Amino acid sequence: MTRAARSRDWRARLAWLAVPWRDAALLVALVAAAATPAFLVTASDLWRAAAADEIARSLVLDGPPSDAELVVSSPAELRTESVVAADDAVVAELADADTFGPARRTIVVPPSLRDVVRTPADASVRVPIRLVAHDGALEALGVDPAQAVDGPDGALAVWMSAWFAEEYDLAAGDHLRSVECAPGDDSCVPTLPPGGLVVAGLVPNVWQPPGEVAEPAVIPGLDPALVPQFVAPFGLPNHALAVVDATDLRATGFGATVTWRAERTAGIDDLDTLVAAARDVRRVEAGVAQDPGVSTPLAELAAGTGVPRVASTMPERLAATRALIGELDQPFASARIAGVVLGLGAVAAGAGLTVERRRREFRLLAGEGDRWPEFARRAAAQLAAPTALGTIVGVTGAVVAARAELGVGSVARVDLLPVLGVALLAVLVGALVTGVIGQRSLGDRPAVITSETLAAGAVILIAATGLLWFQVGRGGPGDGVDPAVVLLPVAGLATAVAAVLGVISVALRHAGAVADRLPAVGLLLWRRLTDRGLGARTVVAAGAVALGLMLSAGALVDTLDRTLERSLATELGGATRVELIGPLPPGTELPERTTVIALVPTRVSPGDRATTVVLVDPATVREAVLWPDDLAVGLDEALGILDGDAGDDLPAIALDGQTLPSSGAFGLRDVVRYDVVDRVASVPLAAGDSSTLLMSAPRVDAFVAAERERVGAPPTDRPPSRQARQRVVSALPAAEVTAFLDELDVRFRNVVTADQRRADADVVGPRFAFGYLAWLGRVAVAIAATALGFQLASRRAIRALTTVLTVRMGASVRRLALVTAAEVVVLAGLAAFVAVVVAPVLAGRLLPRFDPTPELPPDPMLVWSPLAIAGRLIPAVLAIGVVVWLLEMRSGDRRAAEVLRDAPT
Amino acid sequence: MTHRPDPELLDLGPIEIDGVTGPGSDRASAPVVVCRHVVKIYTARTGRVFAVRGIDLEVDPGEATGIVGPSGSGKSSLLRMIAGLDAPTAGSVEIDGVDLHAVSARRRARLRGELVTHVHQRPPDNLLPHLTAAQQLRRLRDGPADGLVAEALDTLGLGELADRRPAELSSGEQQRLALARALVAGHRLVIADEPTAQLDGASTEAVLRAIGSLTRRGVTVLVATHDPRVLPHLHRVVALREGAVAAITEGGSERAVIDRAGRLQLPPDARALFPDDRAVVRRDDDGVRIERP
Repeated sequence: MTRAARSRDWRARLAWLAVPWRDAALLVALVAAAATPAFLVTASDLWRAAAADEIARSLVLDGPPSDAELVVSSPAELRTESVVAADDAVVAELADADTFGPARRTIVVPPSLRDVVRTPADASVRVPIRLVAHDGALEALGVDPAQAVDGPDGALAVWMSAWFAEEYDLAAGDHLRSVECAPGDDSCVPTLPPGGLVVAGLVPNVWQPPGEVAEPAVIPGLDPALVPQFVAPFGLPNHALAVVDATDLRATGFGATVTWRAERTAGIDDLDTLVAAARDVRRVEAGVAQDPGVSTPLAELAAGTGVPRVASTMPERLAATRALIGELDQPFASARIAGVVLGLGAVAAGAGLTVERRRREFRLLAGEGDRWPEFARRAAAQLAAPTALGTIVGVTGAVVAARAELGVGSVARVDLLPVLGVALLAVLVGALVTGVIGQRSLGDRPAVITSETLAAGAVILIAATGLLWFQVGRGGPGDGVDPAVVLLPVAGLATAVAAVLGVISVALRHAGAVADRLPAVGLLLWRRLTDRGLGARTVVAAGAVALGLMLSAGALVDTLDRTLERSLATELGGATRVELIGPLPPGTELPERTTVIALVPTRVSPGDRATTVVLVDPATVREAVLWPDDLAVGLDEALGILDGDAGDDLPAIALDGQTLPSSGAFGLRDVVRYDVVDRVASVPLAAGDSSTLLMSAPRVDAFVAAERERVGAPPTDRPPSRQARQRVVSALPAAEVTAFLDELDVRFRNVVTADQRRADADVVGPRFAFGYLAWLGRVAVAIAATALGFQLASRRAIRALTTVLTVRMGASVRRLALVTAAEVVVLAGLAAFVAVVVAPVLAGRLLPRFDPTPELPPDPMLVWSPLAIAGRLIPAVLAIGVVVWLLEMRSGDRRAAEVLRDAPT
Repeated sequence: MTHRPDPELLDLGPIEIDGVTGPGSDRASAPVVVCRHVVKIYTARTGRVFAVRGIDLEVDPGEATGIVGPSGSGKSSLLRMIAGLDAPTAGSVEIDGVDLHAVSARRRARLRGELVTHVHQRPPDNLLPHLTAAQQLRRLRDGPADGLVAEALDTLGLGELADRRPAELSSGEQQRLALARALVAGHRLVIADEPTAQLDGASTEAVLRAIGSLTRRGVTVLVATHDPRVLPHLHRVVALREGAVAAITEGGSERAVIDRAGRLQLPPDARALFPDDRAVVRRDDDGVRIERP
């Protein structure tokens, strides 16, 4: 072959490959068709990624402040060299954790100083003293070491909290010894070095005196666990804080705990950040356990007294996040598969349009002997470029849509492998459909059911099944995978609709004698409804599926919203819940629809089981608390039980799963006896708590008062309901409740409203999943309308011909519009049928998996509002109708002679 | 049996193709097209339609044969079966000795591609819109074909138009280019369905000359036509009526056809002489007379 001939040959090949590109409308259609599955698959990825990020963010936001820390701790025998060596090693190890900042070290001598004796005058102070050395602690407390009061040689200088000094009549300069005395024995053994402790000065309290339990003012970076806590309403602080200079403490040889604490440098805004933080924690754990450069200094520091620990909640948060995200796999997988099916339907419609626009070419080639394999092979090559371009457009469009809808989205979050797979599938489907339809352009029906096609079909079916199982079985086969939910969009919807269309077609064809007597417009409608074209039926099925999906998703979202509202309201007990730091002043008049409950953490005997006693005020709880009528025990019944007679004991309602004793007692100083009258799974105000007793606050207070009187104890002005943690529960908005509390100068925290609860991690996931389904439904309608437009355009010549002939038979343009409307009505009817059939199945499968508070009856019921159905269906059908109308009206504008000339032969 | 030609049929004079009378090939060669008792029945909603009612036809190599007849006479159905696009309800159709409808669909399509050039009524339907004239022909051959393409184009008077696309050609030039495909592809048979229907006089003449060029080179041409300008250029004209061959005109003389069952179609004007559908057939030494009862 000469060079010129080769050049001409390549130009011919390129010209052939570029055939679709010569027709701008066809090119746009092919690119749009190829973009559709890529768009839907990418959107699924982005929505899931956004949900994962939001769950990660919410889980960490919900957590305590300790979530932000990575802590390495080790027991130690304090010696300067070992402390310094371990310090250098651990700080260096933590410095490699990029998501955490520089470490700060704290040395704590546990409260082993039991009997502190003040010298020279003997006085016993029987309270634990915890010695703390923290970098920068003295500066943080405003202590000037230069002002320290000197003590005897060898004494360890401590700065005592002001409250402790006042409580035990200590002053700066006092010298303290610590001794351990055997019970009943006057001999005592000193436990401190000969120098003892000297109170070098007083520091401000790091906690408020009892009676006003406030948020402790901690030294920045100080382990909150070191700060004195009041463990019981009527108890004393569990230790006193004495701050020691680190340089002094580490040379004492005391047994201590050395802690290195690093804080996260940034918040957890997405899953990747959480993964990185968890990875850093794992790396530090491995270093502490296995790296000699770290483990050896720590072992020397511990000197056999224990092993070092690494503590961080990041791995736990990551596991919880992944567990919540895992619950989204199935709905997203189902939606993704449905999207792929719809997208490939659009591709098939685009292929049909291709054959129509290039009808002459296909007819010519078929006349020359080409059959569907040749057409398909050729189409596969020619579709490669438009499909590649369409895939890029689809991915880009999905990113843009995600940013518009969710505010986030980037290509980096997209799993491109499935996108490429779908693109290849689009080429395959487009090529096959082109081949089949192309061969039919000669009127020669292809014998597609050959052994080859059966074999190919079997391979594709097996591969698709495997891909499907892999897609949805991310948690492992059988791990909650519901095939019905997955396969329903793929097989059930399309099959059901196609079957219905087939039945309609067959029935109408057999009613052909009736059709003969129809007027012209009726005959036209009959012809269109009996169109046996595979493309027509496919696209109509896709349209009905899309509308059905939109309606189903809308119903599911409505149901989830309603179920969520009920669950949240029931769990919160009302619109607002506020945790009080101190009790309300006696005699406080509450606003309307507001009540106060008290939560008493205690242990129940017999069994010593940890239990929470919820004390409610029957007089105010009725108006304030949301108590659904369909719970296991109604409000009236519950209040009746609490007010009832239980003999010498107090009646109680147990929420425990049969673990609490039917009769028992609780309390340390004031013992309260109870008798369980009823057991339920849950009630409002106590959702999520296990082992809970619900009792009447006034009756418990009266019981305690009576018992005190009986034993001769002095009455108390702080009965149990005022000692326990109080919560205000109100039907009023949070602003009104907090304003009321501010007026009373009552300190509070943890104001929880339904809005806040909606942002919790366990709720975020389902909201994203169903929100995506609803969005997908809307997009599906647009795609179906586009595919229908393609299909109508591909049938434009025939439809125009029938339209012209119908006009010639006496029909008016207005009546033709009625025919179009009738077609659309049939489609809408099919869609409604699909939606009514599908939605309850989907809801039944999906909703129970996402009930935020499954322990709270009743089970979610599908919200199936006729108004909502109409409100969603009508605009969608109108949109499709407009597409059909525009195409029909355009064809109606053409002259009859032009239509007849171009009519397919 | 003789009959007067159907008034609807064209007046056939001597057939000449570039001064050569009669088919350009040896009639003793095997026929390219053989139709044996071909029947085609369509099933429509209103019942069955007998489109072709037993046609026997042989077309020799290099022969230009016309298929004429009124609408509904079965022309298109017959041509579709000969082209392998439709299967006969009964009978057989052979192209080059191969029963088209006794082989698989795949082989039939391949045979179609190897043996038959189909020329449609509308010139643009015969060409790929994005290829030049030379490219239209070159694609029909595997391997080098420049010489063959150039010769085919020159033969049909299209040598100057090799680099033009169909939109840049006249209707007649497009039809000639469609015919040129047969030369390049080496097809034995050209089936042309009303090839001159959309052409003016000059274009028609050019197309007819092209047909003559093909037949001189041994290509068999089967033309369905209503165009009176075409008939004088054909070696033989087969007239169909009511799905059967009514008459064959060859060498200037028209012959009525008696089918295997002994049935003879009367021309419409003769048919009108027998309103009761009854006739008396008398045989004498000169032949057979058909008389009203």
